[in-house]
Amino acid sequence: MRFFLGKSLQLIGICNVGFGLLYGLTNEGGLRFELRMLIVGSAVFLIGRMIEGRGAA
Amino acid sequence: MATVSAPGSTPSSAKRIEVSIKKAVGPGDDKVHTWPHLVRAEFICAVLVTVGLIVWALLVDAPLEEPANPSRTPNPSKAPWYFLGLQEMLVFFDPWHAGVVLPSLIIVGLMVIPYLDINPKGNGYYCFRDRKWEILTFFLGFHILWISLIVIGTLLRGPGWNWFWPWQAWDPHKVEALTSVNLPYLVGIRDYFWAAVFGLGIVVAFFAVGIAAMYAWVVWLKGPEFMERWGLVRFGITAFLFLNMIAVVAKMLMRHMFNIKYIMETPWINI
Repeated sequence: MRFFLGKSLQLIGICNVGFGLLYGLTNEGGLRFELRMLIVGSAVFLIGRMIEGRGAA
Repeated sequence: MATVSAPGSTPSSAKRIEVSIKKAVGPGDDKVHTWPHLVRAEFICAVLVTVGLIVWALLVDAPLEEPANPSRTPNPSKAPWYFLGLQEMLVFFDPWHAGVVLPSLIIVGLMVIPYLDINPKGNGYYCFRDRKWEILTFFLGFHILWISLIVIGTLLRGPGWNWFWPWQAWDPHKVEALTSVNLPYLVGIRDYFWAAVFGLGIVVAFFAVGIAAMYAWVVWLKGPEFMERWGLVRFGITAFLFLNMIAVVAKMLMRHMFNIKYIMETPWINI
């Protein structure tokens, strides 16, 4: 369950990053929105990464 | 304006290469900066691949097997997929040749490409018309000699490293007769010494005739002034590397079609 939650958050985060980049690429002066999406996406991804955890070696 | 000095030269004698930097105005411009126009698009591609991998990780379990047991080795015992091309080459060559010589030639050959290539066209414009030779050589080296061997090793090799088509079951009891013979034996030479001499002669003749033919072809195709500009050393290295690529394909086909094991066999080295 934890794995799926973590991976899903990573998925949402990385999609945020991708959408932000696409917005910046296609819109003049869209840097502010792009940066916001990148930061939020990265944060959500990292939260997902922490929730996912890794099994002990 | 940007200036570049030739390395190792004094400032007074430095060769100045002046390149005007054009301000990028947008993706539709003729020349735009790498960042952000290219890097952003590349990063989007990386994001798409990552999304695909995450979805894959969510839906499919990794095909991990039980912990290794030295008393029960798997059959077939396969290397990781990216090494299966090398493992497949072991079918056709001596371990020293498949595992040391050929990978070294690949690495060295890739490293010397910038020094061998004097074609000014295609620096940043990789259209087929201007770079037929380079692109076709890459196709031979990458797709035929690397990717196809990985595909064969991954999908078509089963128990006993026997060849199985996709519609055939992997029968571990399948027995294939080892009928391969060396080329000197095939032509009737039974003496070990003369078989080695014959094999060595074939290998030397292949490279001698190949280099001569390639020289004549390049002169015929591009003219003697091109060969003069290219230089004998650059030509010789290119021809040697290219003939090795051809030789690998020829050797594999000889094994598949005529069951020829080695061209040259000695107690120390087999080719």
